[in-house]
Amino acid sequence: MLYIVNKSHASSQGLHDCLQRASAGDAVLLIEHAVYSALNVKQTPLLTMSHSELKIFALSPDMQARGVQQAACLEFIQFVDYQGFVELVENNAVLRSYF
Amino acid sequence: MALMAAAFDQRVIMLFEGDGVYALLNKQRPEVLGLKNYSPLLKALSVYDINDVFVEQESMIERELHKGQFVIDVNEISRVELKRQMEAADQLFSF
Amino acid sequence: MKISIQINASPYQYQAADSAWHFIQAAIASGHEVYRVFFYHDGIYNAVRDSRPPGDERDIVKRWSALHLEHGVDLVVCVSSAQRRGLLEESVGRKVGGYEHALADGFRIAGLGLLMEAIIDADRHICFGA
Repeated sequence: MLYIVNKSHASSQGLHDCLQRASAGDAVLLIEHAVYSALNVKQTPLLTMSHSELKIFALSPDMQARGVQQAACLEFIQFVDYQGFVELVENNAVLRSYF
Repeated sequence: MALMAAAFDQRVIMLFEGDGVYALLNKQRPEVLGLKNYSPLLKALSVYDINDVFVEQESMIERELHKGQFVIDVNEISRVELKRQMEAADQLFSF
Repeated sequence: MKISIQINASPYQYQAADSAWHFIQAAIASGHEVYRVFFYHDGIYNAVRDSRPPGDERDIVKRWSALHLEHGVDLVVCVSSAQRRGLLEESVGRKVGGYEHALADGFRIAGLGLLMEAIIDADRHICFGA
């Protein structure tokens, strides 16, 4: 399953709810303001995800627009552009958006 | 939308999770605010052959709710089982 | 793959319309078919003909019209969401003495049945919202 989350953990429960339900083999794509949650800060719920079998992606155009640097993100985050977003959709039969 | 899907001959499974479980509460009186009451629509689900109505157990426990407070009969399933239902679907539609 | 898109949020105030449009560009470039975009709830504001953004900003409504013109993407505005918000089809506008030319080029107004059809027919249905 691919989860598409568009808000950060600070402004919405969406990411938190998503992480409670996602499991091994799933993918989470952070778009729009959710890319802030990819930053390596104490408060992000993604901090505990480094050893999980969940794949976490952040949309790089949204990061660039917001000045969120790849180097400042958690090291297990994978970065994709819109092409990569399309590939994630291709590779996951079930999609769920949190907004 | 769910009733429409059934009218389109689709097999519909309804899943309630998070605050969505509150939509099932009986004794709702939205008319107090001039709003539409959706409880009759929930009761109509079975008329449209939508009998697979599942509610997430964890969401109910977090909100200290029990089935007796709901306007229709539902099946309680775990978060993990709810997810399996979603993965087995061709498409998901969220409200 | 056959892809359908749903947009629930109004343009400019939320990024949903932008995210969807950029995704669609990439999907088409990859050879996928984006056959319908369904505008639901406040998403109908993406179809307002008289939208006039400042000259130095992207024109979201025109961008959708161009998508229909260049790639034949079916842009459908939900009739119940539209009517509630005063976006009327030409014939309805004329009949009720309302504004007849509210809908931008390339869009059509139709019922939720087309959303249902899109969900059933598409390989993937993606929702963008507030």
